[in-house]
Amino acid sequence: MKHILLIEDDAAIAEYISSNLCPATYQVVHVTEANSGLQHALSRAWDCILLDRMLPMGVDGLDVLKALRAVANTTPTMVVSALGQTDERVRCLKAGADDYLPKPFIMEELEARIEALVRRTATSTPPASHVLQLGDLQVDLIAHAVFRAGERIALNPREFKLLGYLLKNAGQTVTRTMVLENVWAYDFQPETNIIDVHISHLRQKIDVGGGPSLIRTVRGMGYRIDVPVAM
Amino acid sequence: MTTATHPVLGPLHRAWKSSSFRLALCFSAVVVSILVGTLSVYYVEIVGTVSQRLDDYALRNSKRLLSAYAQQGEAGLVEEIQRLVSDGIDSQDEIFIYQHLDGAVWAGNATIDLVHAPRVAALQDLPVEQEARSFNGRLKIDDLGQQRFLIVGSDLQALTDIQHRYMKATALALGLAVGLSLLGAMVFRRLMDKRAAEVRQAIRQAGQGNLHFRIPMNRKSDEFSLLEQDINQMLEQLEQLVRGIRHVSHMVAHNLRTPLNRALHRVQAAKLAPESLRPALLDQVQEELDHLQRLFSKMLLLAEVEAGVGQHNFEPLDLQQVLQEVLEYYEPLFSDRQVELQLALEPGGWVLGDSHLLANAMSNLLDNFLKYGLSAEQRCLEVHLQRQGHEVQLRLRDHGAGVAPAMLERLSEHFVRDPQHQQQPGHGLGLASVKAIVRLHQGRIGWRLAQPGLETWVRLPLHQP
Repeated sequence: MKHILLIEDDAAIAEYISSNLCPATYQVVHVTEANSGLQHALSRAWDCILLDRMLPMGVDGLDVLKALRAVANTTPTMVVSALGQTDERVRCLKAGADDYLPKPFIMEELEARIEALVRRTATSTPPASHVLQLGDLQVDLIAHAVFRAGERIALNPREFKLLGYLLKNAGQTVTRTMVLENVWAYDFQPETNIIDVHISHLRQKIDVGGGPSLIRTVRGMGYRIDVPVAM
Repeated sequence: MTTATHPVLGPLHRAWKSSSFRLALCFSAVVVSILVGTLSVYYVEIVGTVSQRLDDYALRNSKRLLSAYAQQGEAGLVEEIQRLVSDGIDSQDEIFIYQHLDGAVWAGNATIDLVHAPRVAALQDLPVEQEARSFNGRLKIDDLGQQRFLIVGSDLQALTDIQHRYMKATALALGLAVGLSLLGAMVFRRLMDKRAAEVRQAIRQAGQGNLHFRIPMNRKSDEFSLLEQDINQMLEQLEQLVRGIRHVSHMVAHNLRTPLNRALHRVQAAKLAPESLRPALLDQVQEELDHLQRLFSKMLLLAEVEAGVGQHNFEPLDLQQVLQEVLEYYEPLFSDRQVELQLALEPGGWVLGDSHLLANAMSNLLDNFLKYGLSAEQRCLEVHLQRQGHEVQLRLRDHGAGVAPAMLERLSEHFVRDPQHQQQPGHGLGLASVKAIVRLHQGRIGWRLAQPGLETWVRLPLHQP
């Protein structure tokens, strides 16, 4: 069971988040204002904090975050805000946020990001092996080499990074925005969905003809690779 | 009675509030001061010269008579006095007296009151009696001993007359100057008021929202005319801006309402549709809302960039690297669409900027190329990056259909689209945000018809660490 603290003044959004996060996996505690939010945040260990920016009485959610970080509290925190993206994203990350999600968002995007955050913190220890096995696909994370049925597949660095990112988050869905942010480190939305084209090119290289693809498309959301086996 | 309502002080008090009046008055004060100074110099020159001549006359004749007295004694002195008095030269003005302290005159043409006169060697102005006339004279009194005195000098009347006439003329001139100054200041104020009223009228009209109003122009080229030209120009620009804002708000309304409307209709349809059709309709609603959200993000980004947000995140970056990363991002799409890239990228193109925004701008340009820059036979995109003096220039040239020449100037306006592209998806915000991003980076952007195709150039200031 993962414990999530939600600091959000809008009751409708809070209800939307609380009721849609899987109750078997997540337990959500909701507070509406900054002071009690800070008290709750410090009162116990949380797996993740979801923080709104514009809180009651003109308090900025970032101040809560700064206060947390000032007392060396490192709970993974995602800022969920309706404020503009260009500058605010950088501000939040600089203030110690682990992720930033602009409103409006869909539940799947939020859940994927929470999963990634919680997982990142839980698996901060390096993997036991640098070679991952996925069906008959072998990925050597150090040598940057990919083999299928013992035969080496030539991937360009960006394709390897994309595959690496999907593998790192294996077992969970990643959204297109998450891919763009993490693989390209750019924050823009081109008109055409180029990520799909990249994935399609990657599939052509790593998939066995006729068989099901290793990279699954999750409709309306993003992509997913099933959990690989470490060798 | 207060000053404000005083019949004379009242208008003056009001006039004093006018800066043009005060200016004119100050100027007049300077003119009057110069006049006073000049007249003082003339006074000193004229009166001083006459006075000096009188002094010289008294001293010269006194010396001459004393010398006659020393050589020929009392008889010689008397004879000389009588000769001087009767010689007919200056006889009206000259004064020669050989007199006893008690008033007895032995020789001469007048008498003075020696008892009360200070007996000093220097020249002095004293009352003189001559027959039936009394007047002031400039006199030198010499004590000859035994209470006898020799008094030599001249009538001061001429000098006094000159002084009086001079004073009268000066007073008249100053009075005239002050009067004319006041009158001039009033007239000047009226003139200024009249010119300022035209400017104020225009500004009042603009304040009330009437931006069509223009100040009638005249052929003069004084300060007011220049100001009026500037105000007319400002009104022209304001009017254009307001027109632009109206266009933008109409387009925002249109672009937001259309997908909202479609979403609303589909929700209504979904409510009435049989269970099996609902998911498909709701998917369409989500698509419309996603589309709206993308549009909203674009407008927000544009507004933020135009407001200068993000400038403090600027850091030195290699434009070539950003460009290569963006091109690499588009690479699979280019290969799918058989785009032939012709790259000429010169290294060393460092600029001060935000890599996200610059990548965004490049991505917008590439999106545009993919939408409009491809033709059936020519699928080539030329990309040049080079340093040019103090700038880094990025040029993208396609071989597509280009745009109508009239559109070239308007490409980067908000929500403006070439009519021949209206059928394709888009809002007309891409190039507006590219331009805003380029401007945020102190750069310039322009377009040229390359025939065939369109060439876009972006110039950013070169960063030299």
